[in-house]
Amino acid sequence: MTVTLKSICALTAVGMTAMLSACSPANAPLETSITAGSDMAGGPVVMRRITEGQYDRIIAHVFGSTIQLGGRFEPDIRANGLLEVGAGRVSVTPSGFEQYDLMGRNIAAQVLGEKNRPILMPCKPAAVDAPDNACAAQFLSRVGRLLYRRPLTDAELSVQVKKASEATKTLSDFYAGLELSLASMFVSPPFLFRQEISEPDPDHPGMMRLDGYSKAARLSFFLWDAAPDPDLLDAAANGELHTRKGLERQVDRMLGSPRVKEGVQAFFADMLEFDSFKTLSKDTTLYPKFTFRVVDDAAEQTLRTITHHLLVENGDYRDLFTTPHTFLTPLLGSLYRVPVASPDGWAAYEYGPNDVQAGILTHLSFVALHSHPGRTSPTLRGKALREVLLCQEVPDPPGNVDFNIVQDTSNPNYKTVRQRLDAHASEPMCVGCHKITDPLGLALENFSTIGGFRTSENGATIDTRGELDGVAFANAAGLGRAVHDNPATASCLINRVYSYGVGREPTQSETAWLTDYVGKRFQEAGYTLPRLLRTIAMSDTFYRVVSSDQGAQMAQSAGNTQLQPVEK
Amino acid sequence: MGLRFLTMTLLGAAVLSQSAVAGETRGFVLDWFHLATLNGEESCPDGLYPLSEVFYTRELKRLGYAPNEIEDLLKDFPNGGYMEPIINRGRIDGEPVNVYAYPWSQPDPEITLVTGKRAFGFNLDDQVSDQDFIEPVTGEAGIDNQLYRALGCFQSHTGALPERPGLPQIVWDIQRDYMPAWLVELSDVDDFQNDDEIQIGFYRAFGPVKRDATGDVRSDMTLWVDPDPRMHNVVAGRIKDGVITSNGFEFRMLGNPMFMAEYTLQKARARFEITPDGRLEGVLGGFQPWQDIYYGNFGSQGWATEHSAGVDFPGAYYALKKLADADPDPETGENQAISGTYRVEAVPAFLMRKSNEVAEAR
Repeated sequence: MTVTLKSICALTAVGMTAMLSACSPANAPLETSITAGSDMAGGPVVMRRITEGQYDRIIAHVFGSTIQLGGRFEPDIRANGLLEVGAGRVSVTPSGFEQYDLMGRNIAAQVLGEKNRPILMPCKPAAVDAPDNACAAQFLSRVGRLLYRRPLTDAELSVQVKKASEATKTLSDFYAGLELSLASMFVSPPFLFRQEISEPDPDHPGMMRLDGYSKAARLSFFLWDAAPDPDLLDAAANGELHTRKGLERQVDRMLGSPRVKEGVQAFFADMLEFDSFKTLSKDTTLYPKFTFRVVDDAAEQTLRTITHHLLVENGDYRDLFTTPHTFLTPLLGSLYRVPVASPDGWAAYEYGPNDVQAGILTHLSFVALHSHPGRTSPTLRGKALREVLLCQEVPDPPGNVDFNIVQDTSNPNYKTVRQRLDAHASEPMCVGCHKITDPLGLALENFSTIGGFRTSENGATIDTRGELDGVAFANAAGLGRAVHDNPATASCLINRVYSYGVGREPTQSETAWLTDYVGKRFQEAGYTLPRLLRTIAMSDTFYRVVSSDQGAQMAQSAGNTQLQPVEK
Repeated sequence: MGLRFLTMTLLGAAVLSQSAVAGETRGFVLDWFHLATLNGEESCPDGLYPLSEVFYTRELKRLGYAPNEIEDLLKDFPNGGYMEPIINRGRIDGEPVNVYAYPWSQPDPEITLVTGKRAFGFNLDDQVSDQDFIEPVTGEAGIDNQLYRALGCFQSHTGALPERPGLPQIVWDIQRDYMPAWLVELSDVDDFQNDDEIQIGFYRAFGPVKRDATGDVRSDMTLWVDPDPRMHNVVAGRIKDGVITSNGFEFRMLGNPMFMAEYTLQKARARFEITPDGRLEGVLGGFQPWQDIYYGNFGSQGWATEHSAGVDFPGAYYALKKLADADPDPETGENQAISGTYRVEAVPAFLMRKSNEVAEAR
């Protein structure tokens, strides 16, 4: 394995310049280019269906944010902890196709309507009631390049222009004809699926790499959760993206773009399973403060906290679990029972040094998302912490579990959930798994199922002591510190970030690279996310491709740690 | 818990407010504000005033309609042909006029008045007379509440807690969504069970209340106090055995122009308790201009409210005028204000000002 070192302190983009201003020649971590050896053969390509967020973002970037989608998306599936990995395992159902078609027609109508036509059309037809193939080709080739993330082939363009021409003749309306042609692009596989194309790597005979446009798309969706912009597509077209310098210019430009915030938010919304908010409900008789507006604000609170800490402050990822800083709306303040210095919108808020509300584990987005509608669940919270944040798989419960004791919150003998779980976990078949989850979740018992702070349950004082992998703590703040210090926290993030980028679980060789190389670089960089993203984006491994046969052999569950029930 | 201080550098220089004193401060936002009522059986032993279909029949008869004509006019009640003659049942110089705008243009229907002995409120004039009530909570005699005597026998104005009087409840429920919230602040409190010197402040917020999933006012919200001093009512008070009482003061607060544009209570008094779950509940009483009450609650509402709520508006007008018991007009000698008492319920809130000080919700 050959390692090429290069300084990264030459960033010029405004955002990243500020972010990396602490770099100095003496202590600057150096960027690498890894030339893959036989043990660094990358992994298989995956064809992914674009997600709702990506669809929305592509339309906004290409046609403007005023375009309304007007449809619904098929549900995604989660694999290896990420919807982005699940996106490689889904297709389009007949009803889903109908929705894509509906949206496509709706979008095309807006794009070519009288209001947007003067802005979005690069040309005017010779006559509005007759075909103008030159003008149609000009428009379709321009938007097609952005929608397909590559230039349309001559055959594709010819077909699209012909469609527009024939429809124009039938309808006697150039724009209506063009609209039908554009709508058809929105239901075509090159738009709906991220198709990655491999090619022989001229620098490494016998090995494969992504072609320029596929490389651009992987990079763009990785950093922005959006399709490549024209600059990136140009770099793919002229071969610049296959050069070290060209790739570096693009990576640094993209990391300095405001779009990276959307990309980071999309990644964490995926990793933290915020799609579950769509179906989250609480018993409003018991918790009338919980409304749909609260749900929106809850996800936003955590994403704002994350992006501010990781991108604006360039902070240590692990500090997300201990930081007293967050952002609140008055609505969230009413749940947390703290004042919010903003009449309507968001305001920065800092908890006191002795408050247990520290870190994103104490956010509504975690404690409410991993609770029952009418009561908390230390087990669900502990399980989520293990699986989502530490990449450890907790075994499923057996099918014949008796939950009566746990669910009966009115039993005077078991006033707190700790007492109920202790009684439940005395069952031999339960105790092993509950030892994995409950000591974590019980530390969060100061937070009700909607995130409100409490110190007692049914009149009994809540005991929030717990432990994580041998580290004991007294409350949620202590749990946050334990997660901060746990080695699995950083390695899990690395695994998830890489999986998110390539759309699959890392192969065994990739896992070794992530652990041995990327992990070390992440540590040296103070666990800062921009540096992690850059390390991966600048690596050869990220774009290295193996054949599907090789990929099938290499694909294995290399990411998650399988936990075994703990012996009593 | 004390005061929590926030760093709010964008808000400019801090202004020392009334609550910047020693002791604890708690804020509340009003959930309910409506006439304090009791049940009709106790207050109106001879029966409640009849509903609108009945007194409309009486009025149509007075206007000279024959029984078969009245039956025809009311056959589709609450819709139908009766509306025009009922709305214009007033007469000025023999011509029909809108009776809600000119309630004195019809004869006094002499509505049923409260004859029960008990009513919520205060002894506002420090005297005890035959017209006064006994307070159901404190047992105090000499309670001045002629507003309840005037309106308490309308069926929509009865109801002992936890029931609320129908019409006043509906009116408040509608207007609170479209008017700046009303706030209460207890400050300078060393002991919420017994404290001889506290401050009670009534303020208005910049925006309306926010509701929760059940439609009640959302608690623990942050609300900004309107700096307009005309909306600041601060009075000294005390707490004895958990009961918070105020000295006399003048209460003034803007309401919702659709209903009561302004509430003005002379010689106002307040009495509250904090419930175990942190709510503030009690009563606010005082002498209020009776014409404000008529035109705010009735005159501006017209037939739509009169027929549905069963309140004889001209009857209410005459009753308020007759029972007014304060503030005599210097020229005519007629009293311009009537004693009354409102039920107040509030939930914890954080009150914020342009200073950096925040009153704790609890």
